[in-house]
Amino acid sequence: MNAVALYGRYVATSLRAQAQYPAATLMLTAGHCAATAIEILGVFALFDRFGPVGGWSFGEAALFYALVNIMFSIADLLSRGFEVFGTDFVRTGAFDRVLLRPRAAALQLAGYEVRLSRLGRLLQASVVLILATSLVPITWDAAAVATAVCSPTVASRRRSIHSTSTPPGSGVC
Amino acid sequence: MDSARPYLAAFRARFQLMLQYRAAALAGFATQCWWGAIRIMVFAAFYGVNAAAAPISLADAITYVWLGQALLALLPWVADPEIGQAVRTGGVGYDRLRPLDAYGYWYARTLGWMLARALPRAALMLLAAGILLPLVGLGDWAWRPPSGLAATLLFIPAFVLMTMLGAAVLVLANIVVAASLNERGVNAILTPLVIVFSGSLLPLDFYPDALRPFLHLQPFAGLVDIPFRIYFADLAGGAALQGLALQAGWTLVLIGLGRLAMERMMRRLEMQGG
Repeated sequence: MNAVALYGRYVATSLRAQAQYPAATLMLTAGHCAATAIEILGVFALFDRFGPVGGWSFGEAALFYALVNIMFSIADLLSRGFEVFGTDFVRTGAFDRVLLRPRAAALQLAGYEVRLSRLGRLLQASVVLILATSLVPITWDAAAVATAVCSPTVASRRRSIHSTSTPPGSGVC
Repeated sequence: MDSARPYLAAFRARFQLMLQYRAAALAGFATQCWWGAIRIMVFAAFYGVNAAAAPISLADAITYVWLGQALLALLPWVADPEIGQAVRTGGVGYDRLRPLDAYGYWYARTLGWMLARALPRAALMLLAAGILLPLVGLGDWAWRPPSGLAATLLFIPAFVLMTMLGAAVLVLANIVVAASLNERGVNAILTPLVIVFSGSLLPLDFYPDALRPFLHLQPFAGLVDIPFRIYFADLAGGAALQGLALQAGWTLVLIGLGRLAMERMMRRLEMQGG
């Protein structure tokens, strides 16, 4: 089986596993959505009180917020294995098993636990993106879409290398 | 005094165990310095445009941020991970066998867990933001001492109450964890609630003015907003005493609720593992 097909198999397996517990998955998704949405609440409260900062309005900040979060949630979806590498693989000895398999270790880690609950953040960020689009004069022509897609791709690759084990929401405090 | 001994022992054991994780304290300290600096820069940017709109001065906001970062581990935003584990492995059964008040035992352990994580980080943060920053000439960005003797004296009970209130919230969360067997769901709800309503994300007065009456009365205000505002005398005199009363009142209510919930949960508890 080639790498792409194997990765697809990994994704399908972890999605099926989560589908066994639909209520838990839904609640986790909603919870994750709420946990990450509080940041934009803080940003809104500050802009609401102080007004625009250095020529930046709330809509513009929200646009950045949405793009960053969309890219973060996609990276998070794809890099769970690297995030729990220390606790779930090295400490438990499970990494030995990974190394014994005749496939790339990085591929196996990337395919570990593609968590649907992380879609909560994607959903939340997408809502903010729509909101921001209505607040700032931006037209999503080809050039704008290309800029938005290309810059997060570079950054999210960086994130999957330096992924940390901070809990959701820790970024705000 | 004899009857308090087992609880003190539980507190001490947990406190000393958690103090062993020095690398975790250092890592936490580094993270909190980083976020503290970012948040202060955000405040500075907004104050630079329109300082008149702010409810507190920039110096107070900076002190608020450093205090918050130093005492972050006192914030009850995630349930005690050991409880979830103990419930899933059946270890919670041992807690049922101890001839102790189950609530008091969990409360003492939780208190030890919180304080042992918070105090080393707070000491490091005080050293860095309170002493080092003024020494290198960044006194404007430093963590300032309490505003006057009255504020210092009032902050002591406020600190004690914020710790007790935090532990009461955490034990309540732990009870839900024990009933639902997993801490993930509880944390997903608890974290955003506590971070927003305690004033950890932003001091409560920064939210739209219409929400103020509600924000200042809800229980989580006693975790961050009330004690910190007492520290820099934004709440002084009668208002400070009112704040302390609010903290104490909510602590008692949550402990009472926790005791009731604990009794119900323990009656229905099913042993896992084996």
